[in-house]
Amino acid sequence: MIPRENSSPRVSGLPAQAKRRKNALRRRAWDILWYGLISLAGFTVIAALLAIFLYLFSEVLPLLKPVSAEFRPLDPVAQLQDKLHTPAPKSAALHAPDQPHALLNSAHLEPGFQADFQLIDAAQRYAILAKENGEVCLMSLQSSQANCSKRLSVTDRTVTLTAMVWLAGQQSVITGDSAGQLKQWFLLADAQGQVRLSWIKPFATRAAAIVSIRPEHGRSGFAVLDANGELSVFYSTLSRPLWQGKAPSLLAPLSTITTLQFTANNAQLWLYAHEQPVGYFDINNKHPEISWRTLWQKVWYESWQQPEYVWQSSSGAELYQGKYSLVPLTFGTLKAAFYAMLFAVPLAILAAIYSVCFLAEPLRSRLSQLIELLALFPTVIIGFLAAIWLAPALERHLLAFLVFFLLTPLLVFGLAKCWPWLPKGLQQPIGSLYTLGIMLLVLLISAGIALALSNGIEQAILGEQFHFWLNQQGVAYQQRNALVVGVAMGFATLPIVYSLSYDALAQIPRQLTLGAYALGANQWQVVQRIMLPVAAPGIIAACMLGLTRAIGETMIILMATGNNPITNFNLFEGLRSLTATLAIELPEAAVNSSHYRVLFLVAILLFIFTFTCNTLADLVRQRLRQKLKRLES
Amino acid sequence: MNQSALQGRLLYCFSALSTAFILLMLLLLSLLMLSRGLSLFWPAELVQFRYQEGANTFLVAGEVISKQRLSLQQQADAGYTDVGDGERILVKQGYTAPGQPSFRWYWQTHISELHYPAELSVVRVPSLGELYGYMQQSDAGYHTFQWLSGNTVTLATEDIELHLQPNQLTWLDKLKVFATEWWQFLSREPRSANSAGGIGPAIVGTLVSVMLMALLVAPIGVMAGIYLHEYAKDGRFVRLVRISVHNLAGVPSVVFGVFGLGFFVYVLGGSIDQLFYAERLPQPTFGTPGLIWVSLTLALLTLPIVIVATEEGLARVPMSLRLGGYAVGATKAEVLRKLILPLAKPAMLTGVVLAISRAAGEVAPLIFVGVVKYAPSLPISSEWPFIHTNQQIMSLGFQIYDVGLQSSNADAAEPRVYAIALVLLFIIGSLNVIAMRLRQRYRSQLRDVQL
Repeated sequence: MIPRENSSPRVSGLPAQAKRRKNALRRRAWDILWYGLISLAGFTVIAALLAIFLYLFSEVLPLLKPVSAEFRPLDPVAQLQDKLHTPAPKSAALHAPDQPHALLNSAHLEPGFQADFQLIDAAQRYAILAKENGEVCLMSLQSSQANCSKRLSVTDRTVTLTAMVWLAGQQSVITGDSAGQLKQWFLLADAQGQVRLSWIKPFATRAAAIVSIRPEHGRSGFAVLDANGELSVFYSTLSRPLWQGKAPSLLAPLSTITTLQFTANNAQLWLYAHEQPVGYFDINNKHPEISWRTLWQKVWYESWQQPEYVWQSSSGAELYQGKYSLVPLTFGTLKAAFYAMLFAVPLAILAAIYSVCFLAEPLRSRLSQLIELLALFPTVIIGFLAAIWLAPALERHLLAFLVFFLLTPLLVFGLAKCWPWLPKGLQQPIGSLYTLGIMLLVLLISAGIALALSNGIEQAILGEQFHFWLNQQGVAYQQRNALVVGVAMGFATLPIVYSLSYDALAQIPRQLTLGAYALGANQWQVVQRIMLPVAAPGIIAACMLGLTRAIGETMIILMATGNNPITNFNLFEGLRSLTATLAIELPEAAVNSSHYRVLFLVAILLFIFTFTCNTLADLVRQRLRQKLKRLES
Repeated sequence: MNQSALQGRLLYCFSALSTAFILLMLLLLSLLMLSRGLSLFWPAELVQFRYQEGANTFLVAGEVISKQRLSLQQQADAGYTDVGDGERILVKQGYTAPGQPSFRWYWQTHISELHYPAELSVVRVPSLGELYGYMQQSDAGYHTFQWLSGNTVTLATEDIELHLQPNQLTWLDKLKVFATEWWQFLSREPRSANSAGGIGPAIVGTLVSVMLMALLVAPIGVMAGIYLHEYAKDGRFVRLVRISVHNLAGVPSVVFGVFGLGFFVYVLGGSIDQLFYAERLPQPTFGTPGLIWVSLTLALLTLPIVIVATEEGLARVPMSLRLGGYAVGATKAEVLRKLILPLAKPAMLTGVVLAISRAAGEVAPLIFVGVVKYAPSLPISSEWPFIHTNQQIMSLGFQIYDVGLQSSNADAAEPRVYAIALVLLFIIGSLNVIAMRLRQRYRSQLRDVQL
């Protein structure tokens, strides 16, 4: 037996080694755990990024999906069972909907007008009668002696009229003829208030004569059947068909399909032969009103006098065409951003030049901190001030404001001209606070003069306040207008443009400017020839970032404009932006409706635009930084 | 004259002018906010006058809010005749009789016997609002109040929230009233569609949502920052991610709101409801806007701020420190935990604080995900689980928007909004001061290390 005492050093050594190994193991485990946790967080963020992008896209995708349809034949045996699940619309309903009464007996009609088609609106104000040769007579049912108030022809005489129906809402009529042409007609009031049937537009011509047209329920789509058995589905704002396909060939007695009918949710299109249902198409056509064309081009909507860009997502009317043109909103966004940049960019860049080129530390960083304080104001506060304080103040002193903006540069120009004749004490300390004091004084004086002058002009010449006078000259003036937004949003974007321009200018290596001074250049030459060209990419990037900020700004626009979708560049009228539209309408939009998805599309547009702009600006700034580093070394 | 010298002077003058203009605007903005916000609770002098309207005259008492002069054209447009030079004053006359407005314009020419009686009182009763008139006698527990029209009303003492005779208050008394009024404003519940009462729930809502956001964003943001700076290999993919994260900060906040509504509320909240609260459907529990979604949306919005701050903080820690750590055999986690993080901590804290300050002022995305104009109960309570994450909340920013622009009683609401804005600015300002302090500490610490 080995004595225990001998082994004791080994034994006592063992735990130490094991401890060390355990320790090392623990440290390894910690290291791995730590690594795993941190990587997890990193990947979470990456996943979140992707999720935002993909989710927004997934909400928009159904808008872009082409319409699809699948035929489900009706087995005569199974017909009874099938009816329990998806009852075919009653074939009796096929005839009735547009012919309410025997109101149009021939006594009412013009002698000799044998109407083959007749349409009467639900309120029984108008009747449209048509003959097979295309002759149409529009009757006003409310006038005492009903006769054709207007006669026209809806076909060229060589073809015969084969179908005529109201679209849902009974604002427009679709006609089909034997040549396969489809035309849309509106009931429009002309300048004298006379209602006319006006030709609006043709749809893509079918290959054979039109057999039947069937409007969708509650929206302006319709299905067309032609003599070849071709089926197509249209929507009134688009001339090409959303979907077309062949009606299936069936057994003999039921092979010629004559009539179509939609179910109430427009999800099924039933086919009838000899008034017997033979089957239906499952149609996946959820968002027919949205297409590239309706979003970005002029569309002639029902009861409008001409094609327009319209954003009008909802209305009190039940049968209502949603109007989703993004043009007015995009325009509003750009208009607001334009005026904001017009206000902010010169001020911010000049202030950055002043801080970097003419001030020394510590004054320079004090000043920049002070200006960056502006960024602390939440935009909702700026928006509130703009709406409640600035807008009325601007309205009252509009002329003074304009005069002030013209006068101040003039005064300063004069000051610069006669700078050498100023007392030496004022001239000398360039880059001191004196100059700022002088400029403050100039601003106050200019404001005083502008107020007095504009008061004088308003009282002596115009005889009324300037905005009333503007209105009389035909320039629309609204209290919450683009000028207010420009100033307020300029104010909000100013700090970002300032601080980024400041960074770009301050990064310029000192030996560049010192070298120029040593060669005898003056401040202007240094700024113009050296600092601005070198920092230009940085300053442009600053402006771009300011622009994306202005485009994404919501609360200021929401509060300080009238939010009416106007499409003009008038400084004194309001606007409606993409962002404000989101804020106003998204809480009320029905989930998964076309409106909801269009708003998601707006969000995606904003996302993509700002993201690309920012990336570009970022790249520019990085490149500039590298370039300057190289210059320095 | 030397052309370029003139150009130089022009540049100098115009850049100084711009700077001066910005400073002037900043000054103006601050003064406007302060004066409007602070004057709300300063007891104003009460005025009493006789007003002639047509054939009859009556007495009016109240506070003069503002003055205005209408031009002849405006008078004609509005159909006013016989209004003298068109000068008029807006008087807050409080509740006088059913159906009477509490704010009214009075034409100067029809005003006579204008004076400031010392005994004129303002009394605030929750059910009626403010009353201007004379306190007559007080029985045990009851007071009789008389309007200038002669009508009286009996008020129970416990109903009277405030009774003042401002015209005979000293400066010190007014200060006391000012302080108590502010305290009540900050702590109480709102009344009469947010146009009276306090903003307590809005402050609580803002703070709770922002704190919850900080709890969510701080660990993930900091760890993601560490991952991007310390662990991720500097390849093309990581560069892409980094650029994306940075630029996420520039994406309009309203887009995050859209994402929050669609994804968090409808998709995530909807699935939670189906999994855990199926028995309550179709009544949604989490599938509806609420506090948790507000905080999550804000967290997503402020994530880039925290990540960028963390990365910057890590980048400033000298490389030598890391190498030293590895040289003595420390693992990567140990180097990070023991050496780098203590130094970079202030930078990360700065990021979190800045994120909080950004979130506190945010409104647009929150409209969708759970901020409402009036929430009947607070999101925190003494009942389990203490923080009710599915409740809708009120927030200061949304109050500014809602009370400022959507209120039916604009004259009463407007001064309150200035006060709310002041509170919000105070919160954001103090957070930024904290961030600045942290940053300074961090810089000095780093300087010590480098020495």
